[in-house]
Amino acid sequence: MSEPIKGLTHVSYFCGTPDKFKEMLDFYVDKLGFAPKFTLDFDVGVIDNYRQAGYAVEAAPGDTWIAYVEICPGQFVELFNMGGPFQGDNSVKHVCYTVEDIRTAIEELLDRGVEVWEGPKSLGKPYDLGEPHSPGACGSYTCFLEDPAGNEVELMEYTDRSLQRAWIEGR
Amino acid sequence: MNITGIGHIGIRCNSLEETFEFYTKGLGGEKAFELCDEDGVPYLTYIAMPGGQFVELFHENYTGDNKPQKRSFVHICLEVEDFAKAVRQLQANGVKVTSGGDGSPLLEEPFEERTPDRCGSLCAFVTDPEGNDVELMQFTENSKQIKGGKFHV
Repeated sequence: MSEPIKGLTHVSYFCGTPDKFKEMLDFYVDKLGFAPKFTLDFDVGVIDNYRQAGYAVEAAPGDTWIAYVEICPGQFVELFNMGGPFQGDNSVKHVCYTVEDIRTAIEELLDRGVEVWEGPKSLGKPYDLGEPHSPGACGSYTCFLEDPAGNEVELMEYTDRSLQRAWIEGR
Repeated sequence: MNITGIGHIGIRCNSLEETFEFYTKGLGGEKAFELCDEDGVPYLTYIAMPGGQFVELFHENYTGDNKPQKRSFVHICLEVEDFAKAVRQLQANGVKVTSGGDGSPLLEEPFEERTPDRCGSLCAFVTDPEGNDVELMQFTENSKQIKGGKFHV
């Protein structure tokens, strides 16, 4: 019954203004290291359709509409050069990426000027690499970031005690 | 950076039971485990999707109306092996399949003759009970996701 679906292949975000779109690209490409894959451009029809449906589009025909950046073969983040202002507290809490080694990832992110948090940013606890860090209730090491559009991003390293890994390997 | 892939997406639920049914009976995920508080009350349900990734359902409400015009999150996308077969399977599971996401027209037959989107892939959408769109995508020989393409920003 689950056979038709192979897996999660991408997640997509509206970025807001063209300046925010550039900040989002900087975050996902230059900070997280995802590889530019392809872009699609706006045309008049696309812009009209979005505006009629109540979406903000500041870009003009011929400007970049969508940028796909590759996490690993077959998995992507899709960024839309439009949308906003973002309002309210909505359903999606975060997207989580798996990492091989969370300490190395955190060191690299801090070197690149990215704020790294122990829990969601709203809890206000910066990640302190000098303190011993224990796995979460699920047995995995985690840390949190916030992208320039305000989306919570989680990084997770599975351990031998990870409930996620136990489930995957038990299949 | 040693990021290896998408691990999960975490969703807060105003309709927890319906959303659980959607991702399990509807999309074919399986309940993997729950995390509970000190009193043994679950606060997070992990659903394993095919392929080893997860959907986390937080037993936690949100106050916004979750309209796509107001949020940054657009959709998650699931890769399918056979587009028409997947659409029929999901319909048989009681899931409404649309051409463009929440509020758009239902996808029409013949599913085998669906025209690829501008990215070269076959696409359709389902929407979870919270209003989060989930795209279905079958890659083709022309998919830019596989072949790549010009990148200018």
